[in-house]
Amino acid sequence: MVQKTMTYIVLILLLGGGFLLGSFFGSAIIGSYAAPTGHKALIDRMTITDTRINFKFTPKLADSGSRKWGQGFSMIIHFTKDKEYQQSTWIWQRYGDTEVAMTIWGPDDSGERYYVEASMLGGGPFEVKIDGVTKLTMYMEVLAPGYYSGCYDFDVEV
Amino acid sequence: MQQKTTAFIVIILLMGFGFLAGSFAGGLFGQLGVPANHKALVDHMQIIDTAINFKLTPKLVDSGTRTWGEGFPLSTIFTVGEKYPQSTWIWQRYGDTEVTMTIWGPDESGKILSVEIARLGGNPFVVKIKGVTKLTMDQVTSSPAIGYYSLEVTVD
Repeated sequence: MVQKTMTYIVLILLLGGGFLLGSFFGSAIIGSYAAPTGHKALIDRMTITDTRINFKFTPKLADSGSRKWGQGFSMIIHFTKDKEYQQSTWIWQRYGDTEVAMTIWGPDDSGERYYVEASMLGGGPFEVKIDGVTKLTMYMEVLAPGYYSGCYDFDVEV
Repeated sequence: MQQKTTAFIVIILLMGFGFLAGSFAGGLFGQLGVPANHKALVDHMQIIDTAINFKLTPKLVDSGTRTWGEGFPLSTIFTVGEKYPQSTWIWQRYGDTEVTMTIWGPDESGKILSVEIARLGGNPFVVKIKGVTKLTMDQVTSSPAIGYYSLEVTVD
């Protein structure tokens, strides 16, 4: 009887321990494998820096999967409309505050080209570098109250 | 020896099963951690691609308590250096992320949330809260555009 009880306790402890480990680290570990390797490699080569204070943001995978291209508006001709390509969404954070959002598409049919969309949720200017080479400088310009180049914002009364 | 191996396999299996269950439940815990008024605001909100009258689907990707004003603060309702709840949401069309949004707050009055929205798609979008239009994002016609930047990368 005592042996049976002990077995149950050990079983519950093992399951519980695994559960706790999974709760804290599971999504991060599984998530890092969920990103297409090409996208992950591109992110590893990329830096986004707040050039005012020379602060480098930290990337975090938000979503990934195979998605149909061209459901919305597109200016890019390297992808075929209605064909499925890999897409991942990343957020770039400053101490957990999301400053930049990014989607990576591809590779395209040639297998050589990725398409990156980036948009800012902070004031900037932000510099996007790949392998140390500047690819994009994002800045914020007030166009009208609440409307900025690179960002929109408004207040809501609850 | 065989008994030891079996016990070891059982331990690995049990912990593995627990880990998998925890991984999925971890996402649920994350959902529970989001501030209730942020969730309520998102429930009241619609983002519609007006070109095809398509309602985007929101997905929570991050939440926590963050220090306001580490970057360039756009809103004056918060105190620089103070901590406030923040959540990050993505709005998707069949899984394709079109709009990103962060919600901050409430502020010290407990009444005002600040919403930042950035687009990753080119179609015109309208943001509605309880059916009232709060923001209109025009069709993108050039790059870079208002709220939209793009670049192409050639792989080695």
